[in-house]
Formats: sequence, structure tokens, C-alpha cells
Amino acid sequence: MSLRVLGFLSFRQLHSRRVQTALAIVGIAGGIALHLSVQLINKSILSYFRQTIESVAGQATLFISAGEAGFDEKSVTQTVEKIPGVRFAIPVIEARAYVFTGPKSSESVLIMGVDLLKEKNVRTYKTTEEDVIEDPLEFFNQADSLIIPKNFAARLKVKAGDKFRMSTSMGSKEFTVRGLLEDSSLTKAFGGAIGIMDISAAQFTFGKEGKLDRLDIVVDNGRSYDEMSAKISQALGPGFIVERPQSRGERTERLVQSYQFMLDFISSLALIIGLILVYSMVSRFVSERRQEIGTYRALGATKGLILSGCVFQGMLQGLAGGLLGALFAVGLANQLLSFVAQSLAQNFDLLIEITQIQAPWPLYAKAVIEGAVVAGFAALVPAWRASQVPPIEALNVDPLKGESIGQVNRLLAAQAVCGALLLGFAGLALYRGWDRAHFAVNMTAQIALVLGCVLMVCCGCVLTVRRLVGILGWGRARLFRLGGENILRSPVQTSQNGAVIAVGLLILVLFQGTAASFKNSVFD
Amino acid sequence: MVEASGLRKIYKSGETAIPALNDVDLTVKTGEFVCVMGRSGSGKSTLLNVFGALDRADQGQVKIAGQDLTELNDGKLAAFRRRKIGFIFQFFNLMPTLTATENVALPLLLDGVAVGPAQARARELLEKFELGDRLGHRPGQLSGGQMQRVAIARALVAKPALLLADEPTGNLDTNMGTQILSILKNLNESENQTILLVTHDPGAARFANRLIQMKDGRIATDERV
Repeated sequence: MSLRVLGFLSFRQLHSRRVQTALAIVGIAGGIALHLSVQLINKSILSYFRQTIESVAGQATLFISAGEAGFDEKSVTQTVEKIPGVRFAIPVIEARAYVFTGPKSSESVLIMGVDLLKEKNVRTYKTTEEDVIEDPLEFFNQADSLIIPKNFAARLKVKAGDKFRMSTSMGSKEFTVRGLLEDSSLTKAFGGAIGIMDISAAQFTFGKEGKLDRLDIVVDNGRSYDEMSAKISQALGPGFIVERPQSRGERTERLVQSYQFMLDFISSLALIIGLILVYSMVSRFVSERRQEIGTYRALGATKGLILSGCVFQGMLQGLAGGLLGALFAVGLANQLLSFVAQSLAQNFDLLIEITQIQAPWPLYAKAVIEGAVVAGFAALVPAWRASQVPPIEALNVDPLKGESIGQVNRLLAAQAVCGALLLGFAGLALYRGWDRAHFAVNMTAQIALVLGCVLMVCCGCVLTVRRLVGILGWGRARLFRLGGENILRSPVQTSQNGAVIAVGLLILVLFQGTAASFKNSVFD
Repeated sequence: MVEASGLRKIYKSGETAIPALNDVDLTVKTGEFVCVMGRSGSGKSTLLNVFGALDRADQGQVKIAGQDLTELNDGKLAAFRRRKIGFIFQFFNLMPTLTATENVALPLLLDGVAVGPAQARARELLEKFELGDRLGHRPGQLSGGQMQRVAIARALVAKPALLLADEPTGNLDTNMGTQILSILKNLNESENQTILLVTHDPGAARFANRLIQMKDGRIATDERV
């Protein structure tokens, strides 16, 4: 049978169950939207880090640093400049300041103290006018002199000559805007929240007299970076970090990658809701339409055709959900971006000013395919059950016959045993600390924890309702009993609905728990 | 057309074994219209299921249109049902999501025929059964008699060697039932269609040319009418 006919029959089946189909599509769309939006945010943040590092590095090919305390300016610069192959050694002071943008809001600003005479060798600054600094003498003489990007000045509502206060490690200080910079890759870094000072003024303002935070090195053409890095390290001795700017970026990326991975993992749980909805829908179809499936078989449909038809139905829903989810993902990502950026900034003490989501199309295509695959996978088990319906079921005059008590009990027992095993493994892994030793064990333990909880909730829902029905037998409680009995008529459905709610709550708890645990681990 | 020998089928219910077919031998020639009657549990439906490749006999051999069904695996049995057998069910068993045309075209679609030719053949049959104005209607929009005529058209669309009807009038009023039986009789006479009809309705026997009575899983009587 051609794909066209399969599609036609599947579409008709889905159309006949519009409400259920729509619910499953919305469930998948929600999962895909959350999952994709987190991926978009992660991608945008990583891309932002790379761009920022490249912008700040300029032409520099190596960075020399020595941790928070910095290093001696004179001796180190002289030592480095004497090394053959070092073309330029540019001193840099890096400091963080906070400017109040509202009564309860502040913005983090990167202050770079640079030697403006040497700067042209590594970084270029586009100025609004030919002479960016109206009075160079004043700029160099006054320790509060600052050049800021034009867009940042607009945000702060200041112009050249204006003063504003910033909170620094040395207390609250007043700065004077001596010049404005045009938009460039450097001024776009950190969302434009950057200030350029003369190096001496920066050293004075931030209590780093005679010290440097970084030396930016430009090596001679044709020199190997590894060779130069080794030479510099040897000349400076221990306590110094000599690295390529990209390595610094990669270090930051590694730092935040585990956080991003957690977000990605938790958001992927949202897909489980869609998965359960599709599973539930196809299961219900198989239970309720055994006679119809039997008739298909009697008319000559093979087991394979029934199986592929049901999976195809699931995949169609997944595809629709994936497309819908992809549409909503950008909006959701924009909503979540500031939350994730703030959370990363707070937890990792990073300066993140990111306002725009990067949306590469391969991520969208991947999300849509993910939707179809997840839904197809969800449909697989009930589809297999459908394929096992014998053709003689076409003659069954009681097609709505539900699962027998024995079948339900066997299902509940299987759920409870599998759930207990999964939870047992997760508990053991956490108790013994295996999860800390191996990343793969950590992930497996977390997946086991989630699936174990879902299975136990599935089983618990039916058992609870069954117990309540047993208790509620008098007066007005009989109404509840009636409702309970109604729920118990489709125990599989009941347990699946419970599972959807459980997974939803789990995602919420995990999102908050992850943020809290990262914060604690950073403070620890 | 049909050659069955030594057919045995036993259903188990707990410890009890119920013989549904007990050493049944039967031959049906091409063009015969056979009516199988008997009380509930006499084995007539089981016989129909085995002939229709819906179920397998525990013992014995069944040949339909020269094909030994015991030799076929599940997939080949499905293909056999698509091409050689036409079913008419008591409860019509039409697909509620498909229109009359689509329902009739279904066996052809399942057999890989393209949508266009399959639907053209379906329309042709529906018009023959005076359902030309109901082509786009779904089963829920049709009367019982119309649904059964659609079911007959569906059973005939693949030009089956054997047409099996399980209580085709069981869900219809007398008038409509007679109409359906007349259609079957007409098919048998004009197109030499081999038909095996299982029914409780004694009136149905007069439309057939052979009447088989079953009792306790055996053929009790087999006579020409």
C-alpha cells in the first residue's frame, strides 16, 4: 500500500477524533516548544560567549593572566617583551562595576583599562567624531574619565561631559563620560555595557596600582601559538596562565555547559507529556476499535500494515505538534532568555547581556523531526497491540469490552515492579555517589528516577481510586463512588492521565531544583 | 471452488473443550449458492471463518480456489483474503470515518491499487446497487439497507472467487432483508458468483440452490433446493 493511501487512511482516523488529536498535538507542541526554546537559548548564549571573547581579544593571539590577584606590570611586561617572536604586549585591567538603571535594577558593566597608545595594535575603536575625546589632556589626567558605547550612553541617558555613579569593588564612584564609541563588535559585546578607561586611571580607581589583570599578546607572523605559549610560560614560571582567547571561551563554555545540559534534559522531559498523550490516544483507539481493526484485517490488511498505520498516525500528530511547537519556540525562548541569562550570570558570576535569540533553521528541522520520532515511538507499543488483533475480531459483537481485572492487575504489578526497580537503581546511584563519578551514570540515574516516578504514579492512581471506591459507599459519597467506578472502567487511561500530571509537576520541580542546586554548588 | 476434508476445530473454555467443527467434509462448486443453517453453537460461523481464512482449523485441509489454506502463513493469508474472499458481515462493518466510495474502494487500496482507479471501480459498483446518490455519504448517514448494499459492493470490488455472508439480513427488517438476498441471488445467477451464506433465517434458504444444516459441529443434512 502506498504512503499516500496510508496517509489518507491515517488522516481520516485522526480527523474522526479531532479533540483527542488536537490535545495530543498541543501536548507535543508544548514539549517541542519548551525543548527547542531551551536549545535556542543555549545556542545563543554559547554564540554570545564566542563573539564576546573574539571582540574583546581583537588581534591578540595569546592572553596572559594570573588569577584574581593579577600580576606585576613592569617586570612581567618587560620579561614578555624580550621573548623573541612577541610583537606586542598590550596591558589590560579588567574590572566589574554596576550601574543603577532604575530604583531596583542594576546593570553589570565591564570596565577595560587600556593603554590607548598601544591599543591600536590589537583593537580598533570607531568613534562618533574624528576626535572621540574632546580634551585628551583631561581624559588622561582625570581618574574618573570613561569612554562608553553610544548605545549604552543612550540607555543611561547620558552624553559626553555628563557624570554618573557606578558601584565598584572600591565602593560607589562617580565617572565622567569623556567620549562616545560607535557600534562595533567590541561595543556590542556584553550588550554594550562596556567602559574604556586609561590604564593608569583604572589601576587607581580599582586599587590595582602597579598591577595588570591581563597582557594581550600579538606574535610575529608565522610563529606557532603553541611554541610561543610554551616559551612565555617558561619565561614567566608557575602561577601564570598563557592561553589562546578561544581557550578562555571554551573554559567559560565548559563552566556553563553542565547547567545548559541540565536545562536541556529537563526541557526534554516535556516531550514525555506529548509521548504519553500519543500513547494514550493510540491505546484508546486500539481498545475501542478492535472490531474496526479486525475488519481491516479481515479485508486483507497485514499485521505490518496495521502496525505502520498506527505508527504513521502517531508520527502525523508528532509532525503537526513539532511544526506548531517550532512556531512558538522563538517567542518562548525570548521570554525565557532573560531568566536563563540572569540565572547564569548570578550562578557563574559571568557578565551576560544578551537580548537576541539565534534561530538557525537546522534546530527547527531537528525539533520537527524529534516531534515525529517521539510520537511514532509513543505509538509503537499500542500499534504492536493493534497489529496482533486477529481478523476474527471483525465478528466480535462486543468490541467495547474493556480490560479484564486480571489484565489490569498484571499491568499494575508490572508497573509497580518496573517503577520500584528504576527508583531503587536511582536511589542507590545517588546514595553511593556513583552519579558524581560518571556523567553517564548520572544521566541514567536521573532518567530512571523520572521513569520510576511516572510508573509508580500510573500504578498509584488506579490503586488509590480503587481503594476510594471501596470506602465510599454511603450517602452523598456514593456520587464520588460512581465517578471512581467510571474512572476505573478505563484504568490504563486513568494511569496515563496521572502520569501526564506527574511529569508536568516533575518538570516544574526539576527546573527550580536545578537552579537552586547550581547556586548552592557555586556558593559551596 | 471449496474443498474441505476432515475439518476439526475445538474451542477451550477453562478445562472444558467445545468442539465447534467435528470432522467436516464439504465441497462447493463454482457458481453454487450455499445456505448454511443451524442453531447457535452448531459450528456454522466457525465453518465460515475457516473458509474465509479468518481462523484456522485445528485439523483437516481446506482448499479455496485451488489454494490450500493450511500452507499459507499470516501475511499470505491476508493477501488471499484481499484477492479471493469477499465478506459480508451482519453488522456491515463499514469504516465510520470513510465515505461509501472509500469504504468500497478499501480492499483495492489495501491491495496497492491507486486511489483513482480504486474509487472509479467503487463508484461503478455503488451505482449498480442504486447508491449513486450516496457516494460521499458516511455510514452514519445511510440506512441499514444502504449500509448493507455498500458492504456487498465492498465485498465484490476485488472480484472475489468466494463470497461469504454472515447473517447479512440479521440486522435488517424483513423487507430490506429480502432485497439484500435478492441482490445476492442475482449476483449468483448473472455473474456465476459462488456464495456461502450463514443464516438463522429460514426464508433465506429459498434464495440458495443448496441448503446445509449443521448440528454439533457436523453437517447434519446437505440438500439441493
